[in-house]
Amino acid sequence: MPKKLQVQLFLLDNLIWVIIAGFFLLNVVITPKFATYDNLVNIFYHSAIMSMLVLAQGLVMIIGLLDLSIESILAFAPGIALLLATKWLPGSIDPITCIFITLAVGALVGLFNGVFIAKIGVNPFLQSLSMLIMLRGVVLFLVPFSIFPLAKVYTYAGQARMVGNIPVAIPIVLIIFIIFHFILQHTTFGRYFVATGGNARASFVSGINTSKMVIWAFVISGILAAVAGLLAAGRQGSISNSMGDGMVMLSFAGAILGGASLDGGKGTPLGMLGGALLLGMISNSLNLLGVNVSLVYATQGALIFLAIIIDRVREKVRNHLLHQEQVKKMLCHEQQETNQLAIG
Amino acid sequence: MKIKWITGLVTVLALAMLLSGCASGQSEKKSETAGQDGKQLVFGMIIKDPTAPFIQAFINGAESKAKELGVKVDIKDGQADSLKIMELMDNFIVQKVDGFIMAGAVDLKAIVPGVKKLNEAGIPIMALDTSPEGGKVDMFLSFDIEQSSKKAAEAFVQGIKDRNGGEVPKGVVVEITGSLEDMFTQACTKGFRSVVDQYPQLTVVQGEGKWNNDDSNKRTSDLITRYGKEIKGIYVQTPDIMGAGVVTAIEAAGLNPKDYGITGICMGPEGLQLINEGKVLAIVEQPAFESAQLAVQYLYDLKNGKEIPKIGDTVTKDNALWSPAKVIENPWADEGAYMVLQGPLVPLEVKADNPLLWENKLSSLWKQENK
Repeated sequence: MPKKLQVQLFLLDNLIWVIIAGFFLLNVVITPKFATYDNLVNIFYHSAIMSMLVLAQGLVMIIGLLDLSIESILAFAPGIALLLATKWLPGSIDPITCIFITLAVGALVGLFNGVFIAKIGVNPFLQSLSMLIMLRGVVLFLVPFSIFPLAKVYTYAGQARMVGNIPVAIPIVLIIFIIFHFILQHTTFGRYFVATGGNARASFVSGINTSKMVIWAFVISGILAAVAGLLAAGRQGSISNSMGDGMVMLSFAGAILGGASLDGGKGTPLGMLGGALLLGMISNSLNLLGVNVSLVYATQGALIFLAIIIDRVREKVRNHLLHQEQVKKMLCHEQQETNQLAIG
Repeated sequence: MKIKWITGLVTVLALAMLLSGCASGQSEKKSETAGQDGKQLVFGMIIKDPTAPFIQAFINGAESKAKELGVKVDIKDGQADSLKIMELMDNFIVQKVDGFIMAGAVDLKAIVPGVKKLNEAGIPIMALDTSPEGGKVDMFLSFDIEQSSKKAAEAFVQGIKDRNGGEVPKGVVVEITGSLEDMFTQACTKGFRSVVDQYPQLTVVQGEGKWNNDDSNKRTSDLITRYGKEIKGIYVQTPDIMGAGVVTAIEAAGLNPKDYGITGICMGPEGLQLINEGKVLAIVEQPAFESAQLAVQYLYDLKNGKEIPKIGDTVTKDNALWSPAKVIENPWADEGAYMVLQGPLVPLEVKADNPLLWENKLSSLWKQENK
């Protein structure tokens, strides 16, 4: 493959970072206080919770499915964990165990979703929709009032700050992204995972346990949604029943902006991070610019639309480039043959 | 081919710019008036649900006072979402606003980390409607929800007596409440019950109206179906946002709202209209417009080195329905004062057409909306 084509494909696959760079530079010029240290820290910090949901959604999309239940898991997992620790179980449970219970609850909900979708063949949209509504209802019932105060250890991830006033949430999120990026790019499991999303039938024929991969996708998605819940609970120092409300739609936007596709088999975790950051940046700049409240909503809607268009355009451009390359190759090939014939 | 590719990329970037570009045109013109150091003062303000009339009264109150003083109020919608509210607070801190007004949150515990951050940044805070339950709030300006509910409940019981030959008969009274997790709801219930519980022959049944007409309508319908003729009266915690739903539920059941003597606190244009139509007995008005004006005034005074009322003071003003207002210690926040404004009982203490009521003052706004 020629260099130029490689660069073009690389830019296409990492389009999100190109957009982020452009958007960033634009804001440096037009948005007051945008490029200050405090504000940049804020963008990362405010994107932390959403980025976990974007990654959860993105991984499920890589497998070629979708998960609507993540925004309810965000409230359900910490809510159930805290109720277990403070009300339902005898004796006191230390906060560290509480954190593990939170993640375990998320994993269990994911396992439940995954088994029904992979083994019983329930439609993923309907399965996760029913969980979305059901879990939110359960949380509203079980947690009518906010649960507080929370132990320092439990709120550490969402609230604590380190050197330079940087919230701990930022490195935690970055590390999670790097781990998943490594798994997907450099392990057998990761390759099987992406292959399943790219072409489930071919993967199955070649010996990959595809239903196991689907179950894994939902379990991971559940865990990441629980991490988002942990960060949200830490951030507000309490657990409220409305946490995460309305975030799932934007998680799709973030994942698609980050390179995932509804057809599956595409996207990388670092791309998802980019998608989440772009969402955070846009909301931040609209706030700093003092845009009318209702316009912020409209912009987010426009963003989802934009994400879908980008997805389509990218696909078209990629096919076009590869097609051109093929044509060139064939022409070269014919040229060589004629030359040989002429020599012969 | 290359051209096409570049065109695609440029289109995408142009769209991204458009999205943010539509924003830059929105920013307001700077006025020329200044605070102490010659720069225009900017106060950040967070509201919830900009469609509710009492929030519109907050907005208009703050903006009119800001215009008068030559300062700017930057108003943002927190959508009653604690995370969103704290995100906006962080942005205000970055923008180094000169003061902050918290005008509408639901979960008052969850926003405390944000309040503490504002405290650390040295930004003075005013609270309207409800007070954050922690941190330092320089001044919380509101009528006393519990006291006002008590006043409304007394009018409610008086209505029952008037309809039953001066006696309080045995029966059921319905209380349509806001969201049960809200401090506001709990204070309303406390005030209401302090009066009604003196009459053991009355049984109170609650329906959660969740601060909207849709839920209040459903709960009222359910309870009318269930208790029918036993119902002696219906108390609505905040008729401005739940009264219309209750009235339509009564009418849909083929009954007359007059027979239920609806009272509550927070009037709003809808409540005022229901009073004028005789479908609601009486409402204690929430001094929303004036409280927002006072909040801006006090932030301005603080910034200009003037004293603002302290705990123990009583603030009086001629021709103001909220006067006299006692200043006491804020019982919810960790630190700060609470200025208890008066709320007039309409139409018993103050006539419904009194021009001092903000529902009448801002009537042009509602009339446009009702067209």
